[in-house]
Amino acid sequence: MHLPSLVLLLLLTAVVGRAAAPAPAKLTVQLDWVAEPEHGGFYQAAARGFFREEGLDVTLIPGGPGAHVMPSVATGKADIGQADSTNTLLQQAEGLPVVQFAAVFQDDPAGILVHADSTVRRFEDLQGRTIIARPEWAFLKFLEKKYALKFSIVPQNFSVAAFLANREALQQGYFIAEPHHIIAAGGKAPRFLSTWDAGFRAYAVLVTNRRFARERPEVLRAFLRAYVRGWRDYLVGDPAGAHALMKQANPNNTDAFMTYSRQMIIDEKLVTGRDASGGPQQIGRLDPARYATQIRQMEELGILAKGKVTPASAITTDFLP
Amino acid sequence: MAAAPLVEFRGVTKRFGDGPVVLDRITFSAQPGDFVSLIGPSGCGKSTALRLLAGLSPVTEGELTVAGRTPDAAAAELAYVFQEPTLLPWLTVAHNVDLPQRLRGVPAAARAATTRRVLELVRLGDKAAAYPRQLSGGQKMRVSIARALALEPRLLLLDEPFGALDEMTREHLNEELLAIRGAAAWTAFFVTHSVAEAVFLSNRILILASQPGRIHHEVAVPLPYPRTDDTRLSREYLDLVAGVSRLLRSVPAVPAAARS
Amino acid sequence: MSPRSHAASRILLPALTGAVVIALWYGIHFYLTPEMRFLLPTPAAILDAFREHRAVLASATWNTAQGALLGFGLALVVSSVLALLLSLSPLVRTSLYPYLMALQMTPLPVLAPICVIWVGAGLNSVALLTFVIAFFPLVVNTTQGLISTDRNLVELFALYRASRWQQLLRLRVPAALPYFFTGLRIAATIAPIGAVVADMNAGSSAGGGGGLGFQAVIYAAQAKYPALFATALTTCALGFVLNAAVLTLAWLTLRHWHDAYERRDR
Repeated sequence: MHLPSLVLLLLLTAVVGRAAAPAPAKLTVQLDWVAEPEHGGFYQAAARGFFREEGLDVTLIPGGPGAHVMPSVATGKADIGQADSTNTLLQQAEGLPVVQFAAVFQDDPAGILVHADSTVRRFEDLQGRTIIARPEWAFLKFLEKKYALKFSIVPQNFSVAAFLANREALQQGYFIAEPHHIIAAGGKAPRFLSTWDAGFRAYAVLVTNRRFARERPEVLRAFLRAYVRGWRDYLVGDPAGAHALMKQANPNNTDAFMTYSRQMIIDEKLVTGRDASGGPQQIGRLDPARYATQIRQMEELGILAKGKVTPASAITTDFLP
Repeated sequence: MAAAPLVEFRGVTKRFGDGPVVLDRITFSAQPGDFVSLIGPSGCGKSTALRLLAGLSPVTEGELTVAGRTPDAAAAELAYVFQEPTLLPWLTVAHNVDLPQRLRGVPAAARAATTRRVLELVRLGDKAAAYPRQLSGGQKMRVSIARALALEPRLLLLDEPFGALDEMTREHLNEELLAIRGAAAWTAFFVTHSVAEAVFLSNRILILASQPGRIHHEVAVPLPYPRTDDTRLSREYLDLVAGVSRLLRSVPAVPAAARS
Repeated sequence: MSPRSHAASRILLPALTGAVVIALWYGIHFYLTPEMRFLLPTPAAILDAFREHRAVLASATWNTAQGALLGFGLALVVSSVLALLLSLSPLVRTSLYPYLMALQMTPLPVLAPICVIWVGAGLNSVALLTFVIAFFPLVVNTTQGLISTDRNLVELFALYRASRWQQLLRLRVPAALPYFFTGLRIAATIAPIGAVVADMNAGSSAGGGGGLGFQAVIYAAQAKYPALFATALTTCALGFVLNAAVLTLAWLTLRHWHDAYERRDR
């Protein structure tokens, strides 16, 4: 499309849009981290105008180490938040009025980064080691129980410096991000122990306030239509629009990093699913059976009181397209 | 002039750096047993004279000797009583008195006996274990004097020690000071603003003029010791006070140098 | 006021304040819609959390206390030596102060990763980071004390030809004590805070679950808010204990002579 015609089109849609549609519904989304390709669905939908087409005015609030997504969503400061499903289950058990309503990733891309030449090859090799990780990460407790391990945890500060400084270091990381930073800093590509290989199937999810879910179901449905469309477009189409917005929101993003991260998301089928059922139709889907397993696992670990949450109380699939 | 003078100023001049002359060619000598009062307007250099004697500050020109030596070499011969009691608040009365002796390396046993004796002398024997803040202003000053006396000095320098006290206390301490002195007969240089005090205590009074500080007049006080409360009522005493006051008033208020 | 009624009011007044605060607390809790009550757990819920998590909290408190005390102790020793050095001359002070301040201005979460790389996570790092934030008020106050000695007293020592060493030991050091204790009290207040923040960023679960900061991260992430409040109160208690220890020490040292301890009824 030529530039003049593009401008004309934009003007036209603006005028028509204003005349035809009611004022767009405002919606704020609290991201779990600074804008990166893990939020590709959001940014593509924003860049391509999918939200606007659904009559939504979406504000994306980047997160970070102190984002505190859940309190924001629970108190209504944000309407929607991104989180991981295990911690959300624990928080729901404590009575936080939130509900999980869509998947971001079908499997949590957080796992344990291992130096390429480390002696750690399998989960069993973690015996007696020190792992740099978020202290609350339930996966570690799961590993300790499943493989009868004992290891120490050191708080992770989201930097790869400590990992690079120590040849035997083990660190929690997103394998769609940290390996790139490690290579960029002159390290060798690390290996990765994934949660799913251990049989720990957590989602990265979207959560919303229960009251919001009750009062604005149409808004949530419209949002998910645009969001799922955004992911599909980001994965198979041209990610340039989303990447431009991400760069704007987070100037640390380089093209090389975003290309790497997006490719990892595609290769590991994070959004579309690793199982046989995987595919574009799977985007956003949540499986109650997998939740039942997760809840059982955490109850067995003793970190979740028995009967406090059920798949029915924790998630809803009502808003998915 | 039988004995050798204990203190001798020979043309002593003092200036601080490039500043004005504080003391200008002072020539004066004191015999052992003299009680010399220095009196004069502010800025006449009376306190500076004391500091020179104590070796706290060097002489610029001229010669100053204490017991035939430089003030610095004669440091062990003298003690100093400051304007303020200058007690260490964290030490008891006894330890305060003990301190200069300790700094001079007096053995512990001797120190304890001396401390007890001088505190009795200033009638504070019962306050040995008290801390300074528990004492009145007059009591603190007596501790300060006791501390100086504990060194058994030949020369005692007193820089307006009773200036901050009320009249009653001051007179009382004046008498006490003379009573204490009766036994030891140390030589004293005493800076004061009070003519009555100067006359009551001294046998010699130096009236100083200021800017530059110089000796305006020397007055002999022929009143016999011991002096008591009754001395203050005597004709001679009152005449002397009047005379010194008159001389003090004759000191030019505006210095000659500043008049032009 | 008679001494007895004074003593009674010293118990009664804080108790009354406490009662009002608890009443208000419940008031706010029940004013919130049931969904939002997680924002302010009731004191009873917090007590329950203390009971439920007592084993974890006890070991976390012990871990944090160790880090806080080690860092505090290190700060005490290093700052004393440094203050003596700084009191030597204005030249030394001018040359060193900017760097000491730079250390103080660097936020702990920024220093933490560096610290972890240098001395390893856990007690070492927590103690080192606590030292970093606790030592500045100590060194500044103690130095100020050492150079603010009453001029008359300095003169007294000069008059009696005290050696430099005697002047330092018998005059400057005791005169600096009130300043030192002011610094020590600030340090005692911030040391536990520093230890908790350090623990959040550079603690370790080795040897039983980390310290209070570590637990706070977990409780916050799992929305265990009553337990989080319990952790906060425990941190407070730690600060109070350390403060009380310093106050007692200051009282024992200064009560005879410092004006701050003068009894008003005398």
